[in-house]
Amino acid sequence: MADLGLLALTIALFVAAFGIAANLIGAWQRRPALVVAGRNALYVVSAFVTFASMVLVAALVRRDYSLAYVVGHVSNDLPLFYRVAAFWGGQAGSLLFWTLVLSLYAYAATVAQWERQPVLRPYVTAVLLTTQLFFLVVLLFSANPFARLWVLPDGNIEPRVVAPAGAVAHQVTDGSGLNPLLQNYWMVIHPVMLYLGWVGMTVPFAYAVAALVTRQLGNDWIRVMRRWTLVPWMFLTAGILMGSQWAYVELGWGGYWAWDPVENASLLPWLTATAFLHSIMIQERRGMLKVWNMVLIGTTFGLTIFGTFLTRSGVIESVHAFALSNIGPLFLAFMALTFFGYLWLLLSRWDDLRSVNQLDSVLSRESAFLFQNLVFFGIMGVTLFGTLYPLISDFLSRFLPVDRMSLAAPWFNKVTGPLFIVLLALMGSAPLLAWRRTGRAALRENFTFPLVFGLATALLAFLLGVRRPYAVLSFAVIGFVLGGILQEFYRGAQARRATRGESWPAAVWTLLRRNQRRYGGYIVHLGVLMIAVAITGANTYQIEAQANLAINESMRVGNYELTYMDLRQVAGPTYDQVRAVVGVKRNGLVTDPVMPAMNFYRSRAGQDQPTNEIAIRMGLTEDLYVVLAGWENNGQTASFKAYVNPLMSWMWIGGAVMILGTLAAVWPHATAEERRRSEAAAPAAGVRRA
Amino acid sequence: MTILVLVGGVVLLTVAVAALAWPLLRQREEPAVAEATAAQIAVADPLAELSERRDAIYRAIKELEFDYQVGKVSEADYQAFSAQLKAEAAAVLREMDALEAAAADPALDAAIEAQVAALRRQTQTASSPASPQAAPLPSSAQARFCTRCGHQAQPGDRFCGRCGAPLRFP
Repeated sequence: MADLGLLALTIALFVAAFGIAANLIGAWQRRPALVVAGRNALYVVSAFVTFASMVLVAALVRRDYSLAYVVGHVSNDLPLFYRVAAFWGGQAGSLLFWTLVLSLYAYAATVAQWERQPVLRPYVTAVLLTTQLFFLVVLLFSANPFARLWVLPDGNIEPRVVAPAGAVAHQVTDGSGLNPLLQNYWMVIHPVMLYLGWVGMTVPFAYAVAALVTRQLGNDWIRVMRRWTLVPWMFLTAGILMGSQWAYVELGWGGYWAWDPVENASLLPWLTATAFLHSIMIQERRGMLKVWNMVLIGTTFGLTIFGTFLTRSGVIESVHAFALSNIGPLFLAFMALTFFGYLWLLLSRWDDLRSVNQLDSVLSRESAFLFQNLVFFGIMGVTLFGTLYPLISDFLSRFLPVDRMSLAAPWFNKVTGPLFIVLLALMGSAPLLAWRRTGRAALRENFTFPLVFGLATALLAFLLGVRRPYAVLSFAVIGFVLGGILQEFYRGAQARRATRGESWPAAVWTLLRRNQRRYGGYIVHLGVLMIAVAITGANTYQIEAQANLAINESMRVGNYELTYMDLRQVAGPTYDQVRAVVGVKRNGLVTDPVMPAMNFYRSRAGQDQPTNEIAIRMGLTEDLYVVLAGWENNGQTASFKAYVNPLMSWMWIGGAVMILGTLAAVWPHATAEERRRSEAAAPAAGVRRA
Repeated sequence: MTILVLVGGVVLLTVAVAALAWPLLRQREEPAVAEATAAQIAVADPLAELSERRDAIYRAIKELEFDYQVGKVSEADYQAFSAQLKAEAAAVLREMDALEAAAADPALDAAIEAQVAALRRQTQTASSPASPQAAPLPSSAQARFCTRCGHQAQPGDRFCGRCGAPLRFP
C-alpha cells in the first residue's frame, strides 16, 4: 500500500512538470486546450498528493513498521490522535503535509477563480505547479516519507526507497514514538495553523507573478489578492499564538516567546504580510505603491520558504531542532531561483508599476500607512538579522576579530520593543486620519479624545503602581489606540442613529455589516491591543521565585503562598506521571491546590526527556504558574519554580478577538446593492460569451 | 500485495493520462470553443478591469461619505474629493458603455453597418456635401486632453477621468 503512495508522488512529479510546460506554451501560443490540460495537471497533482498523504496517515494509524517514518514517529502505545498528528511531527511527513496544504490551496484557488481573469490563469497555475514540483522533488529525492528500513550486508540499518543490493528488510515490532514535547494538543494544531498560513501565501504570490508577467497591474487582481492573503494571514496569526501557548504551557520557563529562530521564522512572513494587507489598500484607493506591494508579497512568499528551510534544514540550532539534513541545498536553489526570477520580473515591469497619484499631505491615512509599512519592514529586517546572526558572526569571525555568537531574547526585546510601540501608535493614528489630507479642525476633533484617553490610561496605570517608564509609555499608547477605536465605533453608530434612528446595538451591528472591512479591521486592532497589554504586563512585571521545599514548607511568590503537601505517582496512557500537590493561599485566603507534574514517557523517543506538566491557574489579572523542577529522597523534598505572570490571559483572548475580527472583515456577504449589480452584469457577460 | 500495487499503479497512471489528454483530444472536435477562449487568453478583458475600478471608486465614495459623516473630512475637502471621485466614476462608466456597445451582437452589428452604408449611399447619391457621423464620438479635431496627465477627456467632462484634475479649456 505504501508503494502506491510513492507511485502517486512519482506520477505527480511528471504531471506537474508537464502542467508547467502546458500552461506556459498554452499562454504563449494561445492554445486554450493546453491551458485546460495544464489546469487538469494541477488537479491531478493535488489529488495524487492528497492520496499519498492518506496512504501515509493510514500507515501511521495502522503502525505499518515497514516504513522508516512510521518507525521513527509512532509507537505501539501511542494513542490514535497522536498517531495521526505524527503525520506532521517529523521531517519527511511535515514536508508531505506542506505539499498537501499547498495542493488544497492550489485546487481551491483554481476552482474559485477559474471563471475570472483568463489572462492571468495559465501563469497562476504554472507558479502553483512550480511550487508543487519543488516540494515533490524534495519529497522524492531528499526526504521521502515512504522510505523503508533495510539491513545492509555490512549490518547497518538504513532507510532507502529502493532496496539496496543484498539488503534484507528490517523487521520492527515497536516504533520509537513521537517526541513527548509534541504530545500536547496545542502542538498538534499549531503546525497545522502555521502551515495553513505559510503555504497559503503561495496563492497571492502566484497572482503577483502572473500580474507582472502579463502586465495586468490594475485593480482587478487586488481584491482577489486581499481575500487570498487575509485567510492565510488569519491562520498564521492563530498559528503563532498557538505556538506561544504551547511554549507557555509545555516548556516551563514561564514565558511565551523566546525569539527562537523557528519562532522568528513564523513571525517574519507575518510582519510583511500584515504590511502588505495595509498597503494594498493604498493601491486600491489611490493607485500608489505598486512596486512596494509587489516587493512585500514577494518577500512574504520568500520568507515562508525561508522559514521552512530554517525549520527543516537544521542550519540554525533551535528548540525545534530537527536532524540536520540534506534538503538544504535544494531549498537554497529554489529560494535563489524565486528571488532572482522575481527581481527580474519586477525590474523589467518597472514602468508599468508607476504610481498614478502622489502623496497629497503628510497628515493623511496613506502616509501613516506608509510609515507603518516601513516600521513593519524594519522589524522584519532586524528580526531577520538577529536570527541569522549566528551565521553572520560565524562568517565574519573568519576575517575579523568577532566572536561567534547568537543573539538572545534581551537583544530582540531591546531592539524591537520601541519599534513595536511606534507601530502601535501608528495603528492608532492611521484610522483617525482621512485619505489624502486631514484639515486642522478635523485633526483636533479626532485626536483630542484618544490622546486624553491615553493620558488617563497612563495615569491610572501609574496610580495602580506601574512605575517603569517603558510600561507607562506602553499603557499610554494602548490607551490612545483604544480611545481611537472607541471613538470610531461611537461616531459611526452615532451617524447611523442620526440618519436612520436606529438603536445603539442595531447601529453598531449594521455599522459592522455595512463597513465590514473597516470595522472588522478595528476589531483586529482591538485584539492586537489586548496582546500588547499582555506583553507589557508579562514582560515588565513577571514575578519569579524558586525554592526547595520539604513537606509542609512554604514559599512566597507575589501575593501567593505555596505549600508543598505531597508527591504521588500516577500511570497515564503512554507515560508515568509524578505529581506534586501544592496548597495555594492568595492574599492569605486558601484556594484549591495546584498539581504541577512531570511525565516520563515509556516510548524510546521519550526516555531521555521527561516533560513538564505545568500547573497554571489562569486569571484575567494574573496567572499563577508552578513548575515541578525535581525532587529528592522519594519526595521528602521537592524543588519548585513559580511565576506570577500579570495580564497573560489577554494574549489568548486578544488572539481570539483578532481571528473574529478577520472573519468579520472577510465574511462573504452580498449587500442588496451588490446583488443588483451582479444581476445586471450577468446578461452583459452572457452577450460577450455568445 | 504486488498485484494491488500493480493494479493501483495502472489506475493512477490512467487517471493522470486521461485528465491531461482529454482537453487536447476534445479540442479537435470543437474548434469553435477553443477559438473563443484563445482570444480570452491573449487579451485581458478590459471590462473586468473597468468594473473593478468602478467598484473601487464606489467604495471610495462610500468611505468618503462615511468619513465626512463622522467628521474626519472637512466640508471643503469633502466637496472637492467627492466631485473628483464622481467624475472618475462617470468616466469609467462611459468607457464601459463604449466597450459594451462595441462588443454587442455581431449579427446586429452587421445589420446596422449595412443600414448605415445604405443610408450613406443614399445621401451621397442625393449629393449632400456633409456626410453624417456614424457615431457621436468626438473627432480628432474636437478631442480634449487633460493638462496634468494627458488623458483624453470625453465631451462634457469637467474633471479628468484619470487623475481628477479640473479641466480648463479655452
